Amino acid sequence: MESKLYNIEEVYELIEQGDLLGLAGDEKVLSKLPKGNWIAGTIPYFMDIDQALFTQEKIYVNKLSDKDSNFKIKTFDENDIDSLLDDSFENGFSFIIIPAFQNVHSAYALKMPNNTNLYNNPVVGWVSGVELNSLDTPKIYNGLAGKSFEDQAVIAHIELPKNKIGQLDIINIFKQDKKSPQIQFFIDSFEVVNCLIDDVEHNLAEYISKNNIDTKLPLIADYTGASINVSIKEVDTDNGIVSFFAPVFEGKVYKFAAPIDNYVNEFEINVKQLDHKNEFSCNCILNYLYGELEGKKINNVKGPITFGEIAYQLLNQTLVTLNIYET
Amino acid sequence: MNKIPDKERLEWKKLILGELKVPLKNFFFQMKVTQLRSLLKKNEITLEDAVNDIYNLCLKFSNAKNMSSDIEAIFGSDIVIETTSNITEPTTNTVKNVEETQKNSFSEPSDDLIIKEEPKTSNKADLNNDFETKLQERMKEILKQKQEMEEKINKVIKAREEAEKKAKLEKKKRLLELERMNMKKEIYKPKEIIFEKKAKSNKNSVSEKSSEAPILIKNESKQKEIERQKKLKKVRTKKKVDNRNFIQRWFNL
Repeated sequence: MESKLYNIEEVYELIEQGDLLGLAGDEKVLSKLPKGNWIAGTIPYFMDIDQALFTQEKIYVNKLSDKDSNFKIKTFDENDIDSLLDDSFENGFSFIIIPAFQNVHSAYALKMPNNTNLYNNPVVGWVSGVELNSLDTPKIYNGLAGKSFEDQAVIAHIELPKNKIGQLDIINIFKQDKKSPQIQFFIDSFEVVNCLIDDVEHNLAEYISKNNIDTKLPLIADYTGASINVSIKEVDTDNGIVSFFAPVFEGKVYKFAAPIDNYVNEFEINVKQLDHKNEFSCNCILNYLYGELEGKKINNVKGPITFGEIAYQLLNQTLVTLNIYET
Repeated sequence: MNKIPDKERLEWKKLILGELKVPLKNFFFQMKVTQLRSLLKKNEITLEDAVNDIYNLCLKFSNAKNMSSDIEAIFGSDIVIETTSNITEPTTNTVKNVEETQKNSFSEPSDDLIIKEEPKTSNKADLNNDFETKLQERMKEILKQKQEMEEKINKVIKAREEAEKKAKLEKKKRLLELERMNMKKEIYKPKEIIFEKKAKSNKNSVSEKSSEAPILIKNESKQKEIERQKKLKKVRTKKKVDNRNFIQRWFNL
């Protein structure tokens, strides 16, 4: 089964076949689906075969496992984060969908990086959202129970046979700006007042404003070679507060990203290193917006365009892929 | 199946302690090493447990893309690596021959899985012991320094709290006097402004102080940042924002 956008009738048939599916679509279509082996999240933005697009009529379908494979589905809230992976399989992967703007979203982002079980298997997923101008609330669905939730997230632990292994990769088109100062934060948080900029304490909002820093560019930390973005949500100079789409962490050294000339070109260059048969991929809504990707095609990249990407921990402005390899 | 060097190899410890500056390529490996370094800094894991953890996971994901080149970068090209996996990797030029093949990818390694490596020096065991003792001594030193630092910080915090209490009392007294004198002109200035002025005036002096000074300042600032954010939360929960505006604000539309 190919991962792509399907109309609702086709999704009905796929659900009937019994394989475990990961779905992404607008609430209007997801709420019409029958019970079955599926989990889903709301989003109307996608990268499909031909182009990136907005649709509230179709559903993006990823087959997560065969109907005969072992899997467990559960919903969880912010109190369950510490034990979230306790019942995952010895070999497999976990697929997770979290509703944006909720406590479970921030709790996952803040607590999960310290979870010692986090890297036992790939943990991949995305943050559900809504049409940007709508009054709707992001939701997730547990198809097995036939229920939707605004304040809970859903996770599917999927077992892989011993001859297969899951692997996550990210494509981050941003790089640290060599001219950027080093930025360090005092606490793990989505919001920042003061921080150390080249070892001197500053109000970050004031600093960004005074130095005309482009807030479409993320802050980047180096995780032993991996560039991890934190995107700027809002700079409130009146109150001296900077808000982020993912938390910044104490002890990490961040730098502003270097400007990007052409989003599509950068993606095209970077996706060449990906395995084109990836089982799942998702890209960030900020890349879609800032890169003006609507109507444009990025070769070999498909999937939902999301309000946050999960590759073990919450990421921003990053393309995430899951690959299953035979060993 | 790619082979993973024995967990007794010092490179594992050096990698977690950040003493090996190797740019890793495998995403899992990059993230796991970062996590272990962070947990070790916070004293939430021991070095031995960290080594066990990373070693076992490397065994599990030994066939993942870029893993063998990362292992080679850490342990050097004298490491014997065998690749029978379907996964193609860009750089395995220095791969050498092996004698045995691992059969079960997820079981603990048997003796024949230990990497065959020609000893470079005759007193390798002595070097290992020497490194271990030095490492333990260094860890002790760090712990001691940390305790001393915490004591200093506590003293500073206590002194600060007392000073704040005194200032508050004085301020109350003064306000009462002003009220009595029918002079209700507020002399209060927000803490933030006072603090920022202090920070600005300290700009040059911070870099000139001893190596302990920035840490003390950082810890004080941490407390302040926590207080600031607590205040923020109180203010923000009072404001009920329209959902549309909320989402638009998220995306700066």
